Amino acid sequence: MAAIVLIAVGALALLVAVLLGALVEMYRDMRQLRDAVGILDRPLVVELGSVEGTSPSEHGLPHALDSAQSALILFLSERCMTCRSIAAGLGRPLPHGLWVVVEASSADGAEAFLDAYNLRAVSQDGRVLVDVDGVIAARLGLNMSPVGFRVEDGRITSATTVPSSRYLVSILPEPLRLRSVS
Amino acid sequence: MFLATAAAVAMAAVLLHAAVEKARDPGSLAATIRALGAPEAAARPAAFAVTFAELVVALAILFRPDATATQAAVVALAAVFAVAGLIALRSDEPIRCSCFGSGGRFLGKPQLIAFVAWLAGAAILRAGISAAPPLESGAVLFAATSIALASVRAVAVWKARAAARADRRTAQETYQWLPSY
Repeated sequence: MAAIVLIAVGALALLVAVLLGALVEMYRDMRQLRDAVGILDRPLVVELGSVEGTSPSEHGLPHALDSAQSALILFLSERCMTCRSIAAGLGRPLPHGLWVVVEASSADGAEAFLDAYNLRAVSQDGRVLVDVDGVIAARLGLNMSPVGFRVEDGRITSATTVPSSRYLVSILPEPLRLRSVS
Repeated sequence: MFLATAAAVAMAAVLLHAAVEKARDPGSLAATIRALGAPEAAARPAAFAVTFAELVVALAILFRPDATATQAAVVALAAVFAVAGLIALRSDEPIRCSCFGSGGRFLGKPQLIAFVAWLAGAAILRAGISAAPPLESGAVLFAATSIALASVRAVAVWKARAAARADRRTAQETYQWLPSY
């Protein structure tokens, strides 16, 4: 009797393995479909024009960025829904090398944005800025969001749209570490 | 005895895994068999036969590892795989293995090397197991092997689910962004 039960258990486990395999296949299909419709991490390169190679402070950004070896300046707008999703998903404290500029039409709007996504608490070290009326964005010629500007050795080198939190994580600068010693 | 039991479980696990994956996607094995030169009409039945043979040999290894027929079946199955590898090596184009379902590596040297391993496994069974084990012990090994295979699959599903969830959130964010650009 015990043997029959065990054989039945084994047969059912095999059936479960087949079904789980089918489930994995279905997840893969779903990913392909998402990729095919273009709603999966599809960033667009933003042409920098004359902004390329300039220092961030020239556009009203903090002077600390001029000496940053590697940084990412993320522009979020209070009017953009993806910006809100990304703001909600930002790590606390902010990831290494990430600076956030919140564009808002008014000081009150900016305050509301900071409060809504608990950014005030992470802005103590000055890496969360408020750009009332889009003054900084206007100097950069920026008319879309969310956008990330890459800073290398104190110079703006490139920019891309940031379509998702996951893409943002993938482009964050790597923190500098000491090499391991044995 | 322990070595022989371990070898039996390992061989059965590989064959069961292969059979389960092929059962899930019989089309890919049929395509491989066609690529090896089998007629169109025979490819599907042959794919079914190979899958069924793997399942039967796996069960035979677990329940009657002492039987000469079991050991001969292991060698015969491995020989079929090795011949497939040889044909693939002589072919102008690489042929997908479909050993564990769709995708995977190409047929060729691995099947020839595996043939030696299967021969060694059969030899270990021959030398290490002289009497038929009780039905209960075979059933325990079968259940344990099947549960282990299902558990490995469950881990894969869990990872795929996590990735799909991240994709969904990304898609939501991107979808919100797209019309505004």
